[in-house]
Amino acid sequence: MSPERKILRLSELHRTCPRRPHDGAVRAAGAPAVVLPSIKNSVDSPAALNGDAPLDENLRWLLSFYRHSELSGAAFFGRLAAHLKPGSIQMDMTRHFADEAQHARLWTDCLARLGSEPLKLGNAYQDRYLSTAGLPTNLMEVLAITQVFEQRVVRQYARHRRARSTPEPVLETLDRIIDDERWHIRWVRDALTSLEPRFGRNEIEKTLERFKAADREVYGDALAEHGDRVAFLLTSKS
Amino acid sequence: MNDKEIIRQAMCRILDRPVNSLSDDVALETVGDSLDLIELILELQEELDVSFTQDDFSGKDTVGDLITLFADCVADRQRATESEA
Repeated sequence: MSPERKILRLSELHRTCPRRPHDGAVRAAGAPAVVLPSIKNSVDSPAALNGDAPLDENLRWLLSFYRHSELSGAAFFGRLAAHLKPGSIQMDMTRHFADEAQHARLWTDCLARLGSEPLKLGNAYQDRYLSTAGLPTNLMEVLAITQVFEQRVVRQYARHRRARSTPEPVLETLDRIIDDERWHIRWVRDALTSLEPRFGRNEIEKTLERFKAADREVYGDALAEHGDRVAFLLTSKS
Repeated sequence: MNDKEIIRQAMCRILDRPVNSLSDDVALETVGDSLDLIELILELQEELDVSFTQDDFSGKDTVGDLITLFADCVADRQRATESEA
């Protein structure tokens, strides 16, 4: 994307923008923070219980990265779904929101089964998308960037599925999530088709191409930055 | 109250900020996080019944830029409606 294309590019936003009250703990001034009781994890952690070898740090980072990305997606779709007019897009986006939240739980559980815990990470992959591609400014653009992102997610998960020596809990989690991700691509594709009378097929195609270009840039940057952490994915089973 | 002030008040309401806290020179990237801005832009389009694409926001960096964009679009639509009548 050319540097002169300046479209609400907010790459520094998370560092420069003061957090609004609802972004963090919400409480009245002077009131004590609410401390939630610890919740017993319902998933057995055989590796931890049996004292097996600790999880490889690169795999732990990658699974934490997946979890963080799913959480970020849930936040994105949850907020947008709250503002949509009644209709099929509202319904599907709400389900999409719930799926993303569920996937974050599945990755959390997967890490627990492997005797580990999620790492606390900074900005999510989606933040890079928004800073590179610019903010979507209408529903069609929101769906277009979602379509491109979900396709990337499916490719990444499928690639991980093929990696050699992938632990069984990871394979099981990937299998559960990939089915949902394929549905995400389908519903968003159908929703974009339904918006053709309003935005025009050419405009939608042009928007998708623009976001695909941004996707390639973001993915390339991520690989350059974290290539050593995901190198193990290059060793496929076949 | 003119269109620009109505739009400014709508922005304050959507962003849950005090009325008139958004002066023209306030940078958009300081009014909220990226999701706040997406919500703001989608909500304003919905309320004002106008439609934009990403290209329309090229070079729009401040609250004033955004208000002018929306106000001009509303004014264009009113003129078109009047000329049809």
